[in-house]
Amino acid sequence: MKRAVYVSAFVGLISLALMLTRSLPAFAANAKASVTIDPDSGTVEDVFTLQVILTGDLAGGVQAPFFEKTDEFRIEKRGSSSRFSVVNGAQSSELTFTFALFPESKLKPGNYKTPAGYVFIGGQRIKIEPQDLTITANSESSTAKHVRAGGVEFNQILSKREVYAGQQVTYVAEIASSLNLAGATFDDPDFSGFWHESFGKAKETVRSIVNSNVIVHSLREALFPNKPGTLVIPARKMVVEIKVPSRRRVDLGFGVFDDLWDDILPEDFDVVKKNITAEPAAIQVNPLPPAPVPNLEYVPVGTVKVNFSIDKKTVKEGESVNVAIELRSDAYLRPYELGYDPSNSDFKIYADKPAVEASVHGDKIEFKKRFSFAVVPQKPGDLTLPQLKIVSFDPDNAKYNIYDTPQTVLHVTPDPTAAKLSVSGNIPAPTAESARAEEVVPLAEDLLPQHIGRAALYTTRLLPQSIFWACLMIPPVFSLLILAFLRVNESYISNPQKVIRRKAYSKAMDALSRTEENDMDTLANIFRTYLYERLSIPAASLTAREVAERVGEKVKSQDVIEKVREAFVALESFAYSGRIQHIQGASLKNAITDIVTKVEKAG
Amino acid sequence: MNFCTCLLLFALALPSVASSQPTEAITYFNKANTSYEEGKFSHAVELYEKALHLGLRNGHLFYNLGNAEYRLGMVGKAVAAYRKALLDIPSDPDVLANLTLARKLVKQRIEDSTHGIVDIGFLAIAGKFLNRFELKLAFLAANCLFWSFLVVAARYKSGGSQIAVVISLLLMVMFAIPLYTLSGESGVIIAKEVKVYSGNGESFQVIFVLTEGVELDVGEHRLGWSQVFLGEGRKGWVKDSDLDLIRL
Repeated sequence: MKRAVYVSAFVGLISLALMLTRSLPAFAANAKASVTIDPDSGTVEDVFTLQVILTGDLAGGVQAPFFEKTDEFRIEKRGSSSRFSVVNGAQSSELTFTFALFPESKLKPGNYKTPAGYVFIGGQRIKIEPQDLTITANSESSTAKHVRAGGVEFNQILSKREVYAGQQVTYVAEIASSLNLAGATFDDPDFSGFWHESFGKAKETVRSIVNSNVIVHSLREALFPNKPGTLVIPARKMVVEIKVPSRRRVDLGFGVFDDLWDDILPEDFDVVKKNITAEPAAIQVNPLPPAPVPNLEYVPVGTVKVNFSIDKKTVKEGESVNVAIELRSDAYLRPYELGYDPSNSDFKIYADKPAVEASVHGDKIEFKKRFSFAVVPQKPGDLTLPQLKIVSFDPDNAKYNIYDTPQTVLHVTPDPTAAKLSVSGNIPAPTAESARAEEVVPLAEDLLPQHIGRAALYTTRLLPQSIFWACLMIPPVFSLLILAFLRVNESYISNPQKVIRRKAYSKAMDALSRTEENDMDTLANIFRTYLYERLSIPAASLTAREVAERVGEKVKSQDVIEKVREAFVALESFAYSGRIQHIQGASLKNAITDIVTKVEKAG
Repeated sequence: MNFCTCLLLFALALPSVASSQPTEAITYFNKANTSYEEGKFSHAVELYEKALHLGLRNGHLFYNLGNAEYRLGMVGKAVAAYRKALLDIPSDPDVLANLTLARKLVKQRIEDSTHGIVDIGFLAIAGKFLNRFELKLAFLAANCLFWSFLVVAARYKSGGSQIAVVISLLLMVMFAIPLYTLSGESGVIIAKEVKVYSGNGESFQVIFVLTEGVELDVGEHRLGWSQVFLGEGRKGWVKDSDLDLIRL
């Protein structure tokens, strides 16, 4: 029994192992490794980026690639990245390993291969193929030196040492230093003999040179020699500021707690200034060969592209046509002028101020200069716009290029609305210059004379807009108010009852003020009259309770109703017994006055 | 009677002149006239401008200034001066005659410019006799009359008051139309040749070139430039220094 168990377990383990072994290649069966080198050519001082890209099914596990050791290159790992995606339900992943490849300093220019490598994916070894790499010699004008840690180098570098007058040369002022550089100040360069354009602010890059990283500050200018001969950019000075760690505390002779202080206290630096001088740079400037066109004031030297445009070719007499000529070139275009012959009688041509722009394109400055003209035909018919000749010199091919603007015919139609010049009599019209003179010939004898005398001595009055608008608004507002008032009055006139009702209160109050307190008959009359006129209640024919009820229908105040009832009870009592009663402690007259006021307030 | 009507009639009774004029300005004006008579036209122009600067401002002074500028061949400035004179004395025959003469020397003309007055027959007649101040007062008076008659007509509903409302309304229209056209701004080109740009700056396209004396309607003003209308729906921009705006 035991044996059977052992045998079964053994067979199971073997089977499992076989299964695993067989499946491992299946994991990596779809994985691939590709490698790229960027750039594929450079000098021994450059750093090249080597990337190994693994794609496919990487679920089986990936080990970092490794390369064979060589005497030609040193490879350092820089990092890795991964990407996973699902497309149409299919999963895929990509893993990229990045390496920096440093050529050894002793390497000579030539064609090389990067070291071969291997990567294990799911247990399977995949080869990384070597890549072609070209090591070039340092440029002829480059004087960059290896920099040791703590050192600073300052160089002036020219892209060309022999050019034609006017041809663009790139000038680089470069400082290479270790990582402890705090700042640098250049003195102003002496570019006499050159026109120059800046590439912009100084740039900072990190370069790896001989096992150490250095910071390189470079300032680029485009130079255009403006005369032949040997032109020298003199030795140039700069001041650098170098950070040097300073002592943080008094040295007591024993440094038991040095590490602790190092961790707690922040790092401190002193800045040390150092003067450095760059070597002068010389350039040989050749004169241009004789030009094919005489009397040229300035010839751009470089590749020139010309764009000619005209906005319309059919115009009316007196209307203007806009002509634009745009030049794009690496030649220095600022001094270049272009214009039409002003003696042409068919046109009057007005030139706008040319617009010029400079921009950086790769390692050169490119200029764009735009000449704009307003051309006004002076007579109707088919008039041919004069052509312009643009001459430039191509330094790469050492020949002149001539561009003629296209021959353009303008169709000018006559303008019937243009008035003709007319002058009275035989007196010619003066020109602008002569017209300024004190003694001028009159334009016309029939010009009417001056206005003189008191009639001409006044100042015209002006009405401010604000006052005008205010006066404009007053009548309508006033009129509308009047109309509203009249409408209200009319409604009273057509309905006498309204007038009576409106006057009932004032009539009652007036009567009450003239009536004695003991004059009960008059008080009763006033009260009943008021109730009839104001509320249409015939109080004379109703009992006190009925009057109170009717008042209650019109006036929703229990207090008023109660007082009305009490007042009428008092009046009835007087009528029967001749006895004067008081209402809530007040005389009847005051009570009626109070009732009338409260009814009026209740509306 | 409507209170505001009384107020306006009182205002109308006031002369449309200031009561006292600066003495120095009068002196310059008289000297300018003398210089003109002596044929010293540029000196006359200078003195007329000094009188203007000192506060003497009326149609006759602009007319005299226009004559002096005309003599000097400054056609554009002469036309502008005559146009300003017309704002004050629109019916003055001397101004109209000299303006016509000056316009003959202008090489170009914008055909559909209003030149300040819309000519729609008798409705525009008021503008030919009354200056802007008088037109405004007349319009305000007509406005008062209209509202007064409206109240009366609403109250009494008589035929006479209704006719009066219609008449006063017509009067308002008669004075409003020339006021409206005078409210639009116009100008005259005073430089010998002026480029008209498509925008308010020299970096824009030149769309037209105008000569001295051209009269234009003016729109917006922006940063030393004025928008002008060139007829047939076209518009452009000219520098303020090349244009004299027609305003008192």
